[in-house]
Amino acid sequence: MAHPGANNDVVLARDRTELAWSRSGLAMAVCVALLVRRVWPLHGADRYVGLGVVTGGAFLFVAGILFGTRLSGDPEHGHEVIGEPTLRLISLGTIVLATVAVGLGVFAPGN
Amino acid sequence: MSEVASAGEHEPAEREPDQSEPAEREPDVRFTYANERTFLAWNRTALALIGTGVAATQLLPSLHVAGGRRILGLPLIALGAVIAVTSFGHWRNNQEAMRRGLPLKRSPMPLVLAAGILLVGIAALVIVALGTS
Repeated sequence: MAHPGANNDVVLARDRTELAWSRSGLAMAVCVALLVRRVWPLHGADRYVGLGVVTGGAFLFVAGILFGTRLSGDPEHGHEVIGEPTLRLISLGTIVLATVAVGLGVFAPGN
Repeated sequence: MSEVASAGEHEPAEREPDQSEPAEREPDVRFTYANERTFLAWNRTALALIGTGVAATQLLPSLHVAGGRRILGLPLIALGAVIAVTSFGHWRNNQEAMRRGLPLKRSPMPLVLAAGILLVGIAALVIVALGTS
């Protein structure tokens, strides 16, 4: 007979994981805001390309978060284990944002 | 005269199941969640480094050293990108090890992160020192 405390532990662990997803979303939002602030002073095609790539990176990240936070089922008898594709989206989104940041740092002069 | 038995004359013995590889089974869900939270924590670290690098190249005033802002900002962004890449591999290796009941390998990322931040800190000190001299 399973100890009743074990189920509470699993539920609390799931709650902590969901909070971690929320924190990650907030961190991504701050990073995107900084990048948009960096891209906005650019002119013409540079601005649109920069915004497009930042949006792409944010979209990948958000897609990963939406998949990742879709937790369902009874934790004791089966839970939705986050698969590689979801976390790969998160990593890819972060890499895209880093690429934009490097590009801005190298090619676009600061204020 | 000894005859070398040809390969075709022998029926290949049935291969015994490979017992050297541990059986795989889904680990305790709490460990899976913990592994996932670790991945997310590394990713947040990567985002923080990227954001700090962008802020350094954008928000800092012009420094006395030519390209000083880029010297400080670009390594931070690059470090963030490296962490974003390695964190996924680390999550996958941990998940695989937990499924097989193997010990988790120690990650080099904390050392890489500490060394990277230390180098950027030293660069910042040098730049500030050159600016005030």
